[in-house]
Amino acid sequence: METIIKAALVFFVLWAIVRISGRRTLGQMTAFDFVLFLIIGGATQRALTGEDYSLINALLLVSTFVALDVGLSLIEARSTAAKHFLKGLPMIVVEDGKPLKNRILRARVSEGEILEAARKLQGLERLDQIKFAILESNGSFTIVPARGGKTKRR
Amino acid sequence: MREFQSRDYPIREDMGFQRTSWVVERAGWIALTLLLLAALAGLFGHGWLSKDSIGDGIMRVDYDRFQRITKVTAYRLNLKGGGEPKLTFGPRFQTGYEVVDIEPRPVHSSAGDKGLELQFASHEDSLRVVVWAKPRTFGRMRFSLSSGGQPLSVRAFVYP
Repeated sequence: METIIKAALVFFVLWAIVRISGRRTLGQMTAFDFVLFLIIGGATQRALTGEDYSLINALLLVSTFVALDVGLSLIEARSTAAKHFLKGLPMIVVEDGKPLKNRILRARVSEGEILEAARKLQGLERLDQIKFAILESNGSFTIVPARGGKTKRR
Repeated sequence: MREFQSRDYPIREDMGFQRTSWVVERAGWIALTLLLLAALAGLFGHGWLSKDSIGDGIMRVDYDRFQRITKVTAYRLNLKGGGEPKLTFGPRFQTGYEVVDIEPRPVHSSAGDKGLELQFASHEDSLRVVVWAKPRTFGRMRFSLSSGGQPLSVRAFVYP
């Protein structure tokens, strides 16, 4: 019983921490982010297993996490409000070549990062070649090029 | 179009919700900072908020008011006056803690209805005893401690 309560608590606390850290944190994984996640994993793992190294404890932990994850995805599939609450919303950050500066600032991204995504994903060079840049709820960018934007040369 | 107006194309936005979540995000950062400051001050053990000392002229106990489950904590006792002191930890101590070590070792120990009784070798002046114990249950912890005279009531809180 204790194991399941602990696992559920850790699940929701980690969810809340990841959620308040903002999508910016999780989108592009840097080498340091990777290290950070390893540390988070290591730190919570000890609290979860405690001094109980039994197989049944590990099975219960894994089952609880997977069950909660599946449960949340079922709720998300049925309710958009719940989905927004749990995962966040996508947001337009460049519209017809114009950066939406206040949104970019609040979302803690930069024009440089948008341009980087535009180069990587679409081979674009300038902001005015972008029709829409969308910051997705998972922290990645989607770039919709302006018509003829790719061939436009300065 | 104004920046904080919701667009419908190419995606359906909800900027009202988005702005609320930014506010919640910032509130979360403040909460995280406060949590860390509280931890530094000792609200979760090991700090000036956690230090406690109770007792009288005969016996003093220094310990951490805030403890954590399975984390070894120390009860430092200082007994004045010589003789053959006998310490009695109330029954709640025995159910709540696993004793890891006692320094110095008692010459005799027993447990009964009164709790855990420790008999130390005779000595002169003052005796300093450290009882290292691991909390085994979480929540409020309260047990009595006596060395023959008026029992002290030791209160602590154990975090899960």
